[in-house]
Amino acid sequence: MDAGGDFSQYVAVRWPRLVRSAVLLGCSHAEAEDVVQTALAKCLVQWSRVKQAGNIDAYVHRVLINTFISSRRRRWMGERPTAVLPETAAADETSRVDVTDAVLRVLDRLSRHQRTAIVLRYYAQMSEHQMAEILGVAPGTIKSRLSRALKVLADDPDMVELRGTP
Amino acid sequence: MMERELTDLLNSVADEVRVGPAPLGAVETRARGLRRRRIAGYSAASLVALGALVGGFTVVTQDEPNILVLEGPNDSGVRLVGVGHAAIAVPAAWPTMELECPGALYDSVVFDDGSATTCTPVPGPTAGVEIVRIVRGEPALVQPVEQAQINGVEVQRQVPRCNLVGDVSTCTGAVYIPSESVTFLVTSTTDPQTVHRLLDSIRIVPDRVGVPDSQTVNVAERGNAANAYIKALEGLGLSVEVTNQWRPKYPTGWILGVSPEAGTMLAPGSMVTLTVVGGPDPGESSDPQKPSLGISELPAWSEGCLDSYKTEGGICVPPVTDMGDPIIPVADLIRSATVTLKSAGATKVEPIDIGEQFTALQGTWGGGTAVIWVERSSVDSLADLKASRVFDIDGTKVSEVVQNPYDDIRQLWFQHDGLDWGIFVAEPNGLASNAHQTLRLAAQILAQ
Repeated sequence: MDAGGDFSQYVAVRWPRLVRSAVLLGCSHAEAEDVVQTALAKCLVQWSRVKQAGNIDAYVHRVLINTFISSRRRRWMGERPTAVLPETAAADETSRVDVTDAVLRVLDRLSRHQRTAIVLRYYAQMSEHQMAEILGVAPGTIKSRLSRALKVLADDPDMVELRGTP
Repeated sequence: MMERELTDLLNSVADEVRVGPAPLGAVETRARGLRRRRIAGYSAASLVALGALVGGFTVVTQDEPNILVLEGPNDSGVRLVGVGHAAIAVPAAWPTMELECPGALYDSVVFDDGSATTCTPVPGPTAGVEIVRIVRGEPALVQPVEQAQINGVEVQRQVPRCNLVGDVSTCTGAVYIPSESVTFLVTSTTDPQTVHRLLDSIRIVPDRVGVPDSQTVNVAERGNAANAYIKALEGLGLSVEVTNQWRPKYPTGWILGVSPEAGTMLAPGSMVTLTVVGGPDPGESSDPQKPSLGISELPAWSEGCLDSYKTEGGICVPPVTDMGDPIIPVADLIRSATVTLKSAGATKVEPIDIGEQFTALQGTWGGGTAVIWVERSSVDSLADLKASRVFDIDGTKVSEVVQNPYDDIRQLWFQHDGLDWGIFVAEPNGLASNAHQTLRLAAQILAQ
């Protein structure tokens, strides 16, 4: 399959940021690379359509999010009911001061819609219109999700602590 | 203030993620494993071809005799679809749908009977999509409207105009043909020239008639649908052949299928084959096609369920119930739907090949548009699935899972050809109209 120079160039440039977006969406590092590879492969097989979309980044993010959702679903399917909850994989308490850990913990407390909106807006730097296109919702819905997510974050103790960190 | 801090925080976290060089080779390898599902498109070339055809198209027949097909330059297949003697030329690849939801995602022809509001809503128009709606009667044309003639027949033409819907420029024009009591309403999110070209392709074809749509008749006539439809066909000078199939939960006379499909322009005397719900064969006390479990175990289909026929695309889907419900075999109903998949709304499902992972619909997630994809998948044990419902399709147990932590994904799981299969549809609004898509996909996979 001929990837085409523009696809190769796009992947070379965007790969790190896409992987990091996937991490912020909730993937582990390895899972993030896997999800992004899958998403890019889907984009490659219809690259001409992607290019016609006008905003390649928005299109790729849309595929990325769909792929991420799929990966989440598959992982859940492997779960088993249990009478006793296993120990959680919560962050090491000793590392609470760690900014990365704290931010990811804060993101974990958001709903999926809110987390996606936050990552797209404030990390991927998508406009609200682009987000509406990516998520297939009205711009007003984007505003609403962002607003609610920001309120959750503003009230989050970890976030308050982070904001107070010099 | 908060926003800027958030951006900084996210960037600082992201920067902690060490990312190596892009694995382009691995991406290409994965891409090779995906088969591109071509969506019926309307390329610029075919638009040009369509424009070139206007006024001088060539009539040829293809696979089926008496079906009017137009062929243009560069083998750009174009076909006529219409009502009565009025027809519009569209690319042959465009599907014809007998029901539709607003904001369709694919180039298509739609028999619009006003049921659109009952279908799955989608957020808004998608750029680069052309929709031809065939509306019986006179719609409320939007000014400016011009008087014109097509092949000597008086028509009213709504001059194409474009408006911004969301952030998508949406161009609409129409031609109303009083003598045929039909309106061709063309919407394009490509450009106004596309609307002009399509409207210019409308023709009066005196020696052909369009196969009428059957869904409106089904809903309006219920048990008398077949008789009413046959009468309409015969009134158009068409011959009719009827095949009966027993569907115990559908009213006798319900039209299950029409061949050739609605809108096909046929010469008088051509044969139209109907598949109609009939009674059981003599001496049979139960549905001969029905698998394993008894009819008594079927849920009681209500009138409301039959009303869902249109929005469910041909399947009466029982309401989703709590987990742990008994097995509900609905194979008879699933068989009643064609497995040649067409859009039953804003979604369109392409035929699939076993062994391929693909995205059947490139839609959007999160706002009401269904996203369907199929994967060969692996779960530890299908028996462990917490199925909301279990269907029996040709003897294969198909488990449906609706409730999960990501509550907007409906899943179907089954085993076939030595593999575990999963069909998933993201349906944020939880609309049952997506259920039939997954069921029909499962039926199609199992039929291969």
